Amino acid sequence: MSGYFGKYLLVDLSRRKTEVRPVERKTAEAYLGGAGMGARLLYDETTVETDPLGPENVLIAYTGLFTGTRVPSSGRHHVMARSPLTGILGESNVGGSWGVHLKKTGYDGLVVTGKAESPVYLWIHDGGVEIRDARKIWGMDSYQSSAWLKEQTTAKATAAVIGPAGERLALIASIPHIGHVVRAAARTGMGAVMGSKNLKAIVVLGTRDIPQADAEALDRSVQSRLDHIRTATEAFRKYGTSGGIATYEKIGNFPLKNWILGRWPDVENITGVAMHDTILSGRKACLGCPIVCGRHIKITQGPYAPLDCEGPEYESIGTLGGECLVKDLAAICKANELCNRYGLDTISTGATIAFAMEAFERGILTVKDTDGIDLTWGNAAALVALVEKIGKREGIGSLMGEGSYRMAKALGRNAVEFAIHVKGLEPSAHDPRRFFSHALNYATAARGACHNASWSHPYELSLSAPEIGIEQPQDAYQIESKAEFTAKLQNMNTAFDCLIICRFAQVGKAVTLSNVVDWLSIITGRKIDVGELMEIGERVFNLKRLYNTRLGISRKDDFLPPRFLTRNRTGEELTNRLPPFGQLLGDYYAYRGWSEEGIPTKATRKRLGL
Amino acid sequence: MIGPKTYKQLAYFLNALAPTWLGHSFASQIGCLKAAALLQCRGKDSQKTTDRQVQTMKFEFSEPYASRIGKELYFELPEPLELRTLVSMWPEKLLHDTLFGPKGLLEDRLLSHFFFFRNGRKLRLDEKIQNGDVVNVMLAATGG
Repeated sequence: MSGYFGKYLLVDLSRRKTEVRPVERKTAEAYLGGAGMGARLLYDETTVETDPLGPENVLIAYTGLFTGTRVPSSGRHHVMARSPLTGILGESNVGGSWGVHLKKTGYDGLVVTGKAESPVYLWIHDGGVEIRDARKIWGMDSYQSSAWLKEQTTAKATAAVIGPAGERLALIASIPHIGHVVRAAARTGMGAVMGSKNLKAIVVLGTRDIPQADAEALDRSVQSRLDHIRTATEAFRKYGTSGGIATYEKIGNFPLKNWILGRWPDVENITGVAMHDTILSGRKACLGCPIVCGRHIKITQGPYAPLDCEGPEYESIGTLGGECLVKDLAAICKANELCNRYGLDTISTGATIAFAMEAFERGILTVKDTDGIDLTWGNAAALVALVEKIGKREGIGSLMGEGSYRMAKALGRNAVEFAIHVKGLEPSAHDPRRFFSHALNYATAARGACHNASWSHPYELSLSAPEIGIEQPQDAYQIESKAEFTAKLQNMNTAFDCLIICRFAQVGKAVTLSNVVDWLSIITGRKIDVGELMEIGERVFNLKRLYNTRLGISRKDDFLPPRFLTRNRTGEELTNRLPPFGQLLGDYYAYRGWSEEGIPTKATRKRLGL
Repeated sequence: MIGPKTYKQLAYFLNALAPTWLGHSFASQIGCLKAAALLQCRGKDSQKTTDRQVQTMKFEFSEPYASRIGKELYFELPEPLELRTLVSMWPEKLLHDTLFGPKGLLEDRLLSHFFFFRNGRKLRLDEKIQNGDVVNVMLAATGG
């Protein structure tokens, strides 16, 4: 099969056994790879009884059909497991180089099950896989561990390695991937799943050629697009994902003070432009990516110096900065660095700290509860101190490591009313009161409040996708056809997660859906059109939904936090409105072919081959 | 997309209006036809134009553009014009080279660099601008 090796690696840590499993052609064609194969395997390999932190849970890392090819911005893989944070489908899409190396070892994916008796790491290379002792690095942070792992294997390898947060089963623990850049499988507590298996790291290095129907034709096609990609993303490359923060703040999309405030004059201090003008020391790309959105920063003075590391991206600044009203960019950079070091999701970490700050303001938390830390809004030192505590699960950090929803339930009183989450997952830094598509998307995305499921806000600002009937950006507050608009973009981006290609390839129409379909056809040697790709996206989106509905998810869980439905953001020139959520959701279910309870109907399942 | 021919015609048309200069000539610095339509481009220093703003439209630039090229840019418009037309008349130093392809302004590229707002509402390029309008120009936000 062109584009695939047609097999994945299964590792059972309890039995210390490995097995190579073939993938049937029809399965590969129906699900492609990445999120599609991940969802298929997760559905098949787990049950309702699966304990997310039990040995029976599976940790899946699956590459896409584009991974390792010349397709730009495709050096990625998808991580899945039943989430310990939300109890439902957990997933995270990761860049860097790890996925490319995994695929080049000759396996399209990896499934880990069981639990090792003592800490181990996997070393996967062209010659096979080894289960090795990791007791020496258990307790070390991700950077220290990565350095040791590279000494034990090769400096060229990339390590997916958890830090102390994952070892200590913090439910918001990430899996940092450390190679030539640092990227993380951050969301839904995948680091805790690794920790529960006594699996400290998965180190990979592969050098095999990936089978493709016509690699030269792909090379020519990609080459002809590269100048356009570089030009269309130039501002994005120059200022990073956070370059547009001031713009987002102006239009009411940037989260402020746990989603309370409308405008914030201090925002200029923490934008990608401010970073560019002060501490940016370099730019870093995932393997083979011409966009280069990654930042490298250097801080030589002040309380957080010295700092010479990856810089924070948009979501991290939004949650660690905006949500907490921290205007000190150096402190945000330090908090971001600590999240990578301890292995924490920056979004959930920042959001949980913002929640704690509001609880502090309301008197539900006091300095007696916080180990003496003053959680006043904007306290930069408190932000950094709390990340340390969460990473170590120390003091108040132990409870905060469970995420904002569980923390709210533990605090009692009315705390759950201002814990901002959907299905237990804290939102990324985009306001559904500003983009109505995200009202629907947060409520229906498989993993909870996830902007990436539809990545629709750019299509309510400046992008279009005429291939799927989105001829021009849709009005963000438009009600009519918002459900169709959102569902189509969810399907498209789910398909992109199967291939895999980064969301940012869509910036400035650098890469279009037509490009993607062309490249897919060239790699597989089989003519695939937009309709077929969109149907694959729809199939996988519905499969994820079925995984969740099997666990009891239904309309009652497809909610938005009360703050998004009842509290308008106010401020100069803001045009935020409250989404008419019930109407939108009804339209959405109807368009999707789901029942009024939000369950894919039999006809829908049959149409999609599920 | 605005082609070179359209653009030149428009520039001549505006030039024929013999616009009044409100400040020092920017046209002589950039020496291009479209500058003939430009009334003023300046930084933080001048505050003299309030009473004249009703006779002009104003582009107001935010960072990163403001500190690099100036905060304000004025046009006196003979009639309401589409935003894309006005942008095509910006002086070259405001525009990234790559915003112009062989046949004119590349709008996808433009929108990956700039967002435009009027009274807090994001503008499409086909929307009409008239004298008295203030158009805020900000770095495009498509990421995150």
